Amino acid sequence: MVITDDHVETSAAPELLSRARAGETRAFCLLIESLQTRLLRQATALAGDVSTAEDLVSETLVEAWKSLPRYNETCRFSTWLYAILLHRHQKSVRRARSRPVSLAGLPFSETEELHDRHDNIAATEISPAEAATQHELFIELRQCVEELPSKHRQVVLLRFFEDASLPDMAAVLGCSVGTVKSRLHHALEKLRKMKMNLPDLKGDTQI
Amino acid sequence: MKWFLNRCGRYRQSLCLLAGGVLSEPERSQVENHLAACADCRKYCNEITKMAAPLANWEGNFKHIEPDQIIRMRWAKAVEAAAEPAPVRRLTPIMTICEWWHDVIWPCRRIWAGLAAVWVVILAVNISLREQSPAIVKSGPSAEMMMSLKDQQKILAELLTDRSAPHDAEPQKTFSPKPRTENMEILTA
Repeated sequence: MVITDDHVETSAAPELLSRARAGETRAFCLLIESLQTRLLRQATALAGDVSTAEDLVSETLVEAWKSLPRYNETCRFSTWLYAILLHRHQKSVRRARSRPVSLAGLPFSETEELHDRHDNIAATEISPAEAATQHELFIELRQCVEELPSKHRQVVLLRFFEDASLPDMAAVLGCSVGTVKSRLHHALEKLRKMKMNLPDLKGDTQI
Repeated sequence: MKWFLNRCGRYRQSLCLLAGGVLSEPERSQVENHLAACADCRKYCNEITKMAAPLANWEGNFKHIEPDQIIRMRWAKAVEAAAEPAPVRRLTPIMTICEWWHDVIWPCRRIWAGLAAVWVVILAVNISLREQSPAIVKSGPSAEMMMSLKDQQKILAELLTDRSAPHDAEPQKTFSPKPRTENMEILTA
């Protein structure tokens, strides 16, 4: 949960934000420049493949530009962007459900994304086998998260993918901090139960 | 009472928040004190933390993903295109309804489920109303109806007896033609 590209909360950010609000697209592009990498990774984690994620980020940025006057700075800008990303993703999922299923659209399938990932494993510090296991665990858990009710899923994704604080989550979701705490508790509890029911992961939970 | 019996239950939310990394410092020390004393909660905390670990380290799986310059340019162009004033598009009412249908109604399964539920309710009400009418026939006429029918039968019987019985009181009128004129009397005589 380390924020690597969150340089927006610097001294230049408020000025860029006010210029962007005034209608300057260049200022908006500068504002989001440092967030784009993380946003693409978040979108890939949500959508499952990079090309869909790129489109998702594009839609998110356009939506953010249009909704910029409504950003009231009650939460971090990156959290606000991520909330828009989540919303866009939910919308695309809903639309995809009403259309015929294509293999390319399946999330987290053994598609080229996973093969690309295996090709890039050598570049990371951990061993390829360990990285593959971690990725498999992540995919399984991500599928469990997808099965959660919407309000619980949002809290989990905001907390772990965006590293949002409790007040930020409350501001984005429009509820109290107590509600966010309760939802996070129930979500993690449900995930724990779901994961314990998975036969191949049962050994992991026995400590 | 349940809360009193299950004292660890009140720590479970805090343990989840601890695993999520959002527990405040005073609460953390309190929970850690409890964890030192309670083996069950320690086990629960380990389970939750281990379960959430792949989510907490999610970015490690996507380290290789970086947007290249072309993608960044594409996004910037998309924002610039959105910033340009859109050409005024005249929407007819039918087009508006079609767009609304396509964007709101069609993708939303809940609306379809709701419509289906309404139809089921209407069908059920119809069937239940249809089933009531033969039941009334089967149960037969009510006591009041029977009484009124009997009264009517009595009245009818009286009427019939009145018509069939001889009328002694009233003398029978016999036909006696009267002569209209004097001449006619003479003639008859």
